[in-house]
Amino acid sequence: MIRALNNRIRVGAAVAAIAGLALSGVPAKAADAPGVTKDTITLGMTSAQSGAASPGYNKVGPAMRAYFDYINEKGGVYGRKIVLKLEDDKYVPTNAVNKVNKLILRDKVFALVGNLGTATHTAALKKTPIIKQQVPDLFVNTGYSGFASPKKYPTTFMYLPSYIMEAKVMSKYIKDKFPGKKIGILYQDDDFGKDGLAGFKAAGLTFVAGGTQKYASLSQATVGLTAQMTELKSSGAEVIIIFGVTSATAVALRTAAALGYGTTWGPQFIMGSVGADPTTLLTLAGATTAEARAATLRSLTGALSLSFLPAATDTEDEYVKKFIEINTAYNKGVVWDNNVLVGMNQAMLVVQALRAAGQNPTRASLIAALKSKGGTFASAGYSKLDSANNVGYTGYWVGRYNSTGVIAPVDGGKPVVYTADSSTSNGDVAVSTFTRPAMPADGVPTNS
Amino acid sequence: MRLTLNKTRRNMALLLSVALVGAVLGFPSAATAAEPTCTTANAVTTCTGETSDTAKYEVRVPADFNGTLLLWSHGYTYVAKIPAQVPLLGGAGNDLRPTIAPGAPDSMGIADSLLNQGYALAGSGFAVPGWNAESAVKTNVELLGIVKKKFPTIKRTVAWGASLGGTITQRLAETNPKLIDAALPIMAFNNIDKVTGSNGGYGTDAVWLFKMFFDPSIQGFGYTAGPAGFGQAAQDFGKVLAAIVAIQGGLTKSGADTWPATATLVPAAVKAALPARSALLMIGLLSGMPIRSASFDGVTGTPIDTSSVAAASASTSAATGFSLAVQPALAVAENMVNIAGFATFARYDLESQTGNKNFADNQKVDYAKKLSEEERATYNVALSGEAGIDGLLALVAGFQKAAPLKADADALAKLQKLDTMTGKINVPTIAFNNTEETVEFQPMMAWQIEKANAQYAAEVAAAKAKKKKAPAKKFAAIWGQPLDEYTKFNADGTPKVQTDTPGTAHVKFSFPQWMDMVRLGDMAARLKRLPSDAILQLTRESDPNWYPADEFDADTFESIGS
Repeated sequence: MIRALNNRIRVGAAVAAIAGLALSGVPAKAADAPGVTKDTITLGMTSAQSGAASPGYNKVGPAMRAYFDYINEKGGVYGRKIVLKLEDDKYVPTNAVNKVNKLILRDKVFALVGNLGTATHTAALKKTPIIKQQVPDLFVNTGYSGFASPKKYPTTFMYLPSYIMEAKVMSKYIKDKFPGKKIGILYQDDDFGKDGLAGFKAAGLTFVAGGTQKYASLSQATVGLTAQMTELKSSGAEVIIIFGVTSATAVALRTAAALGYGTTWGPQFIMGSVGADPTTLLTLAGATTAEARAATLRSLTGALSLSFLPAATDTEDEYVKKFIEINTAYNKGVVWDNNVLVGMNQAMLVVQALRAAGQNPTRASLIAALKSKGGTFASAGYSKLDSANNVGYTGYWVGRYNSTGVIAPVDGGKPVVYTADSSTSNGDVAVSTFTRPAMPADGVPTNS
Repeated sequence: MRLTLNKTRRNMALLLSVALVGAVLGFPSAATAAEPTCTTANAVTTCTGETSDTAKYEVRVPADFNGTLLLWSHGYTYVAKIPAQVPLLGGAGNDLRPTIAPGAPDSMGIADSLLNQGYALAGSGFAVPGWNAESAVKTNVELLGIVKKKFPTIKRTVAWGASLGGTITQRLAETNPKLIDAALPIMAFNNIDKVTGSNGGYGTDAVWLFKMFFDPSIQGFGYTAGPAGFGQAAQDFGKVLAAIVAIQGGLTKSGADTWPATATLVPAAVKAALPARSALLMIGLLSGMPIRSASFDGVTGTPIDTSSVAAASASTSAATGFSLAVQPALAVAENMVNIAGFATFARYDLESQTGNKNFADNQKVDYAKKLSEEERATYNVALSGEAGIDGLLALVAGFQKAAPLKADADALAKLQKLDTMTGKINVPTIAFNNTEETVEFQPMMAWQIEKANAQYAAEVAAAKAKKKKAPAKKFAAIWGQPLDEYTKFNADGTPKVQTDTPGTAHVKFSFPQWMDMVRLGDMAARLKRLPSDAILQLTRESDPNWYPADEFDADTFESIGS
């Protein structure tokens, strides 16, 4: 009752404020949807903004907000300003449940955008009314293929390509470029790792005896990864896949250096995309000691990694170029990196989805618009966004880090993008023929 | 309510070994009937007496009586006095003092406040301790007759009660709807068979798994008849506490982990590879126990040391590790202590009422299926990863194959006959429970909600078929839930023990929440229907601990595999 009264006052004030303005594209009436008023659309996001898993990932949400601020200054979405409520779940699943419940039940957000983490979002989907209230759950920041399940999670749409896709692409690259080499892997012993292993299996990639090493999520922070990296070294693996989060990759690289990487030991490292942002890796190491930073950089140099967006350092890319401008103006003091790129690009997709949902959007119209039009949205992604099937991007390119931590396509020139699906019945990978839409003028989408 | 632990004795540090053998047990003796006597003091008339079954009762009516009588039914009381040397529970049990409001007669704050607001209060101590739902309903029926005759100014009656008292309240409304105008069943215990009987269940799984993992000398089931069996239950309670203290001691101090020496069925290789906390959490998850407790919110990390960049980095890692790996196990430890009394002493009582044989059976329980995919993901870290999860489940499967629980058929049949609550709604009813309640766990109120919704849907369909107006809804439910973060730490970094966190533990509500309940019940009694959705909503929004039942996706017996 009290809340409803307050809403009436706020809406009334907003109507009075804009009464004298001649605004084309301003909706004729407030939409009949939670989180949508005549002048605002409120969105919610949960992410690790603090805690051990937060470095790097905690830049995604603020980057999204910065892009929304930019769009708001340009008139918003059909006259409505976008409000992003960002909640810190600390990467703890129980807390993600608390925060998503708060966003849906108390803050009454219209949609969730960019929620981050496999375990955290799995918990939220189980113990919050996302499904019951048909809350659009757009562009989740995880590659766990299980989220692309319209039957189980009808309102959830992925953003990242799945870990299965990534494993398939990685497998093809390894088979093509390192035939006959002994392969090892370090993976996270949870749904993230399981998804990756399923992809490697589907692609027929096999690992050398003793070369399959795992760690319990977050254990790298307390017990380290020395045992696993030592086993990998002993296995004789010549190509080592590090399929973990950034904080684990950082520990693995630092440990490799301690075990003689670059002097007495020289395997080829290939890192999964979610754990490979060089800025974060080096920042994490630098928080310990300068020596640790140097050791990490030594292991990083020459390593390979997969990416689904352009390199954040590719300032020739029109999307990167524009997003850097926006970051400078609207995300002051934040160092530009891959995480910021991820967030800005994601926000641009959200804006297009909101526009496609119509002038008076509902939760249903947003989901329908994403299903039918998501594949046509402009974005920095080098592969198709398969929103029609609740899937995110569908391809990766392979890059190599130089001695300053900058990644560039392995073969020079433009990246070759490989595409795959999340089926575990085949390991098929093809070179993508996808043509990326051009950046909208001034970085402001005008789709409908 | 009576099952609640004495908070002054709750400090876990005191839970060390106890000598229990040979304790003198105080069993109830027959009481004699007494006529009601009334006195008036401080503008309150107090009447006491006994119903024909010798149950003692008390009634208090204020001079400025508002016309509403609140009939309180207290919760479970153990069938005998627990020996004083038993930690936490010593001295509890066989308490047949009349109880007129939550906390009474030991703490009269709620009662006095309600009297000041003009309510009349009544309550019995009941004729027998232990599981007494049906006899207590008869007592209440007689008591209401006495009270209404004595105080003809009573215009309406609201029945309320918590725990077993919630069951008694609901059964009173099911069997004697004309005697009351509204019912507030709070944490009503139901589905005894699903909780303790033919297919494992919360109370059975928790104890059996704990026994197998941590101390196979725990008897747990099939207690001997008479005082000897009560002594066995007391010994079991002590063993559960001792094992928990052994695990918990290291966890609270440093996150280090210790398997108790009594964990003799777990192979040494497993103990070396997996921490005891993971096994403890597995017990909680497989039994359906809340994974938040009065002290542990499952979220808050240990304090961050900001004295230097390196210290901040290390302590941040430790904090996240504590949240993900340790908090859930500590919550289970605390909740296990909370339910251990019920799981031992109340089982003894139920076995006494069903022929002194074991009625629990877990031969067909698929424990692996009880761990959902979501739980695997949510608690992956605390369970030591996928390998840890698979290893623990394999161990459970081995335990089950080697030593399954087999029920005595006669005892099981008798247990099922004690399962009398039907969930039928005859009067305006508002049910309450806490999301992290440890005894009447989530599926119990979820079951009430399902039954009431199904009944209402059938009534609406019947009215539609007869082209009549749809009947008014008579049932609503409200959950109490804890705040998101409430774990606190001592100066030395160890977690603080808390006992009164609303939304957690057994029958824990704040004072304003108790008042909200009465306000809503009184309104329902006056209106002869539920207060409007708007009023219910206002109640929910006025207290951050209230949670709308229609939006909370509670565990159900089906969802947890019971």
